[in-house]
Amino acid sequence: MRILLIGNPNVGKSAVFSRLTGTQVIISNYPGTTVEFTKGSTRLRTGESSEVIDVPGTYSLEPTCRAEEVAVSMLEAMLDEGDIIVNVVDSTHLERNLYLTLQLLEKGIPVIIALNLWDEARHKGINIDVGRLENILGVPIVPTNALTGEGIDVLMNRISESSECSLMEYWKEKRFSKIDKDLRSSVDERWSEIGRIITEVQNICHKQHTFVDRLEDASIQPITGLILAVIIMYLSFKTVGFIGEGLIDFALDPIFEMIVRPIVAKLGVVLGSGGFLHDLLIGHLVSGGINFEESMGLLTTGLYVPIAMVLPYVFAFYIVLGILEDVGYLPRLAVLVDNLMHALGMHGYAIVPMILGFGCNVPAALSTRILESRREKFICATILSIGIPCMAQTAMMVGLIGRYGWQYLAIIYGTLFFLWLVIGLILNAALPGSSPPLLMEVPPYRLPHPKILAKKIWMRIRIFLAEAIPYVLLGVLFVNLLHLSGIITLLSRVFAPLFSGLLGLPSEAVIALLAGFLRKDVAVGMLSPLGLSIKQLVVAGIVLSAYFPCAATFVVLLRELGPVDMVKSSFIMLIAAFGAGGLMNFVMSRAVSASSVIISLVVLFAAVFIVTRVVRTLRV
Amino acid sequence: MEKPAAIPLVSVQAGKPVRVINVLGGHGLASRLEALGIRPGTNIIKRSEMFMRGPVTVEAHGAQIAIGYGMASRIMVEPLDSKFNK
Repeated sequence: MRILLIGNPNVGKSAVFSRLTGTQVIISNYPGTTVEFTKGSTRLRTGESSEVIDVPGTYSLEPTCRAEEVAVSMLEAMLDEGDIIVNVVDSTHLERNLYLTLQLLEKGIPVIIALNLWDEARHKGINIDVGRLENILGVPIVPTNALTGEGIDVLMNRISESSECSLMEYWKEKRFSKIDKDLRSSVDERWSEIGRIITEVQNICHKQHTFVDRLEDASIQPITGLILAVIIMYLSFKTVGFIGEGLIDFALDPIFEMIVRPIVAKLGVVLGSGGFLHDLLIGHLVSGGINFEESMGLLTTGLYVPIAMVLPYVFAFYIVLGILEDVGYLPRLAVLVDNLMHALGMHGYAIVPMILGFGCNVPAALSTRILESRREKFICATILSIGIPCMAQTAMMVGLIGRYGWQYLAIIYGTLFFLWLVIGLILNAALPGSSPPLLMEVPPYRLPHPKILAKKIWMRIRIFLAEAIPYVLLGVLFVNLLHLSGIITLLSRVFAPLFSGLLGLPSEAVIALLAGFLRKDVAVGMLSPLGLSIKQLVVAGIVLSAYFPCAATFVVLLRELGPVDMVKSSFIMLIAAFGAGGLMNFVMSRAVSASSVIISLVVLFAAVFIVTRVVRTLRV
Repeated sequence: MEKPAAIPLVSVQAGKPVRVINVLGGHGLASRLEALGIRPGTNIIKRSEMFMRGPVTVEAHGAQIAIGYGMASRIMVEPLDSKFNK
């Protein structure tokens, strides 16, 4: 027997799942957080264990868009005789949620209803007569607050009882006597049935407009919305910088200096201050001592990069992202940028993968599933890979390039944003089809639940550490082996024309590009010992961000896009990266004034914009 | 009483309560809206609209739903409160 959690998007299925199974899953306040089936197991009261499956949200069993199609078809393929469905219902929107419930009941599947967000409904002055609703629908109903865990015990009891067949039969009979014999009711009948049920079981005491209501309105009005968005983005940016820098300066750097340095220095002496093992573990010494950034040993740079340079910023980013997600801000941002995203061939919700991508491109690539069409996914994945550097890479660039002044980081990010914009415009004009319209539920603002938020941050950090440390070590090992085996000289010679000619970089920089296939943070780190000028660093930073996704992202993208589209997408990435890198090298080495660069970029952008517009109108 | 003519949702002023009359165009759009609880006869309130033909946000059954401009221009509604309706 299995337990399937089904319900509308953003009603708290994942929260219920996490309560039932004890498994940690990402819970957020926006529809489409869960894009994959998540499995876990729970122990029933009878002592037997049962599989629990968290199904992505759907509004109806007759799928109306791609995301729902996937959910429903997988649901139909999975559902076996004897499975129990827990229909998670948002008590604050009972009427709309009941549509799916009726559809489930019509199918004759054993259903238990969890009236989730019960406290929020009461708070909003919504009273639901549970006993009465239970009588009308003829199925067990349990009010729950999955975030705090209230009602989950009772839900568990009901599930355990229902697993005994006799009881299920009892409920079934009861239901068949209550609900219309003709089970295949039409859409209209369903809604009028729901109307009748609602008038019987629910009454709402209207409340005054609160401050939160006003804030909700303000954030989707054109002018106040944009002002709020700018303030929120600025504060997010500042907070990430503040926490990240603070952690590095006051916690991680001191730890590495005072604890790690003496240990590895001693180990270096034991290893004889040279030789293969020394070079591998400690790396080469820089002016007589260990340099955590440049020594390139497994125990020095291999640990310092992921833990002391990247982790603090990743941690800071996930705090801010977690708050934005749980408050429910992201869908509002999607409404604000819908126009812009349409120009790039997507609807506003594509901003969600973009924002996630600033943390890590892997979950971002996964979340492209919330987009409707293949076309939209292709554009999103491509410009995400090119224009959105992950936090690991950002942290390294801040560390390496930030010391020369923020304007250089601004040049890199400005160029990436420009690529993101222009490639989106071009792809939207070049690919047949058009961007699907936006249609989504905007959740209410909610105060983040500290415990849930902390769990989510911890979970993401764990994923980061599990992913980053092995890959960084692998990257450092790989680079060492290339050096030791001498392959690097060969590669440098082969790529020298491309690197020195086009990008103005020393041919050894090829090593950074190779390492970038594994991880972007290591790749940026590789630049450090090369003694590059700031201009070269800027060019390298742009190329490294844009040319190709890291291995982990590549695997996800390959699965999501398929091999053919992935090849096309990679081709675009390479052209974009080397084109932009070459141009940037040309501009910077000729010391063109900043204003003329900006003017020519604006002109270029305008030209692309007009041409793509014309192309699109001609086709329509 | 004279029945007010149906107008597209996009030309309603923000903040106004309206009743959905029908949804023009394909069955696909109508059923997507229907699954979200927006169907002929539903009372909704238009909460906001973005400039330059941006999405319209409405409140239906207590939930806020953002609808792209193209879609919203195919939702025909009648204003509910005539005294707000000069």
